Amino acid sequence: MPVLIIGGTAAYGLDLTPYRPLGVPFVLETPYGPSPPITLLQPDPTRPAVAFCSRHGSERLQRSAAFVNQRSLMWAARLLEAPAVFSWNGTGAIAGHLEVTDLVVPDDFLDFSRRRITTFGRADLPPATGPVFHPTARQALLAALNAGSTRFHATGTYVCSEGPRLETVGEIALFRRYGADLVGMTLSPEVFLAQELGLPYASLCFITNYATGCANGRPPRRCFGPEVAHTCLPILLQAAHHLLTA
Amino acid sequence: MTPLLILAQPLPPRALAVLGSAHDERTVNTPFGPAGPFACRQQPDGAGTWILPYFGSPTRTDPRATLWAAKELGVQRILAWEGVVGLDPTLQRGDIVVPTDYMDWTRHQPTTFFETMGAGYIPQVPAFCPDIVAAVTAHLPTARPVVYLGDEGPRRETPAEARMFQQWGAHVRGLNLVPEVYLAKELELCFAALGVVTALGADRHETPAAGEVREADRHILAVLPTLLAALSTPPTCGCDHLQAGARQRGVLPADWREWR
Repeated sequence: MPVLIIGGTAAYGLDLTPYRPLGVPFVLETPYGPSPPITLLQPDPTRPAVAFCSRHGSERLQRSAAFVNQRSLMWAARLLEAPAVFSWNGTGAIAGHLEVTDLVVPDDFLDFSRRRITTFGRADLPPATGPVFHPTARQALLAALNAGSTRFHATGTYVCSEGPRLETVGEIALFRRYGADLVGMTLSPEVFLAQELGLPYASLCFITNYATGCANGRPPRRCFGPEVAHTCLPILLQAAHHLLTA
Repeated sequence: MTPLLILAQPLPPRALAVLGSAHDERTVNTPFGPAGPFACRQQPDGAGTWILPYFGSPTRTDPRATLWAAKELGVQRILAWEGVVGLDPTLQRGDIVVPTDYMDWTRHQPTTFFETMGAGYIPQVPAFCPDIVAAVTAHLPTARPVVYLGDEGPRRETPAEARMFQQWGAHVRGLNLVPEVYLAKELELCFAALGVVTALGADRHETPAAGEVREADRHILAVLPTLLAALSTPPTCGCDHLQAGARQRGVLPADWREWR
């Protein structure tokens, strides 16, 4: 049963050839509508294949975070009987120690999204408990990062804003005061839905830019290109391997 | 370019006569429902203004209809005039404010025109159109720059909410500028506002009204004709090409009517 990897920034239109796709993409029917197209990847023939899909659309950025069908996406993970879900997420740096292109494995969460369905609302699913980001999945991801050479931060509090607009100066100042280190639009409700399904979930956040008012004199930098995907996907493939062999 | 005045502050009858006589009235059909009627008033020197009354519950109309209609009418600049709640303890009834930043605490308002397109990642600095803010400040030098909290309403805030909004850094609270301010950016429209403090935050002691709000309204009406005339000039702020990049990359089609 493959680990599911959900691609965020730059996953759309990504050339998967280097990651050795097996067969053609397929769609799973779920009670919440069709899943996004899922591709099996097996870059290393000695290791099990993983399932991969792009959160924002396949060919191009087709929908912003609030308009992703997160329930069909996470239900697809259940249908795949995935032992864990890893995703990458483009984020803005709020905390001063975070630089553009840094990686963060968030360990805490503030949900400032407001118009999303945050539960399956099913009587047959127990309420979600425990840490939002699953310790086992996080450990596997940190093991992959420790073995690599990319600068990363092993903890961080992620705040989810509604979008698609960027945040105002006042909003980011508020998030900072509340303890947020990085801001994105995608992790709510994905991580809560995974939790309801009992799926270990961990996120690899790629710092794509400084959040509004957080450059602190540093030259503005933005990084939304294919390098985001080509940095994150190999690390998540490695994390899937660590998870299955731990 | 004829500006639009969104009037979210009830005024005495005939107060708007200072903007000239009404010579046109239009209701505009939009993909989000009808908006209007918009009345066009014209001063003797030819300067015109579209006026849209906007009080009552904003939850009844999709704000996207209002902005889409403004775009259809050929409007570039929108000035909203709103009665706001003064949260900050130094703000008194009748004080005039000009929002320069905002915080969004709405829950059931639309967030974007681009629900089926991967677009709308628009920076919110400056939050309000700098051209209009500068014009308001030039004509109303006492107007205080404030951070505006956009609340869901239509109910008033509780005292606990008023204290919380202040802790967040907001100075005033109102119901008519958010999400309008960022939906306007999506359509490359200029949007800014002037506010009159008509009530104090629910945690503050309210003294009996002594005509302060009417006095502020009179003050604003006196400068409104020249302020609106100043808004008829071509924009220098950049709001009118906020989507240039998205257009160039082919994320958005050339015709804005397909931006949804």
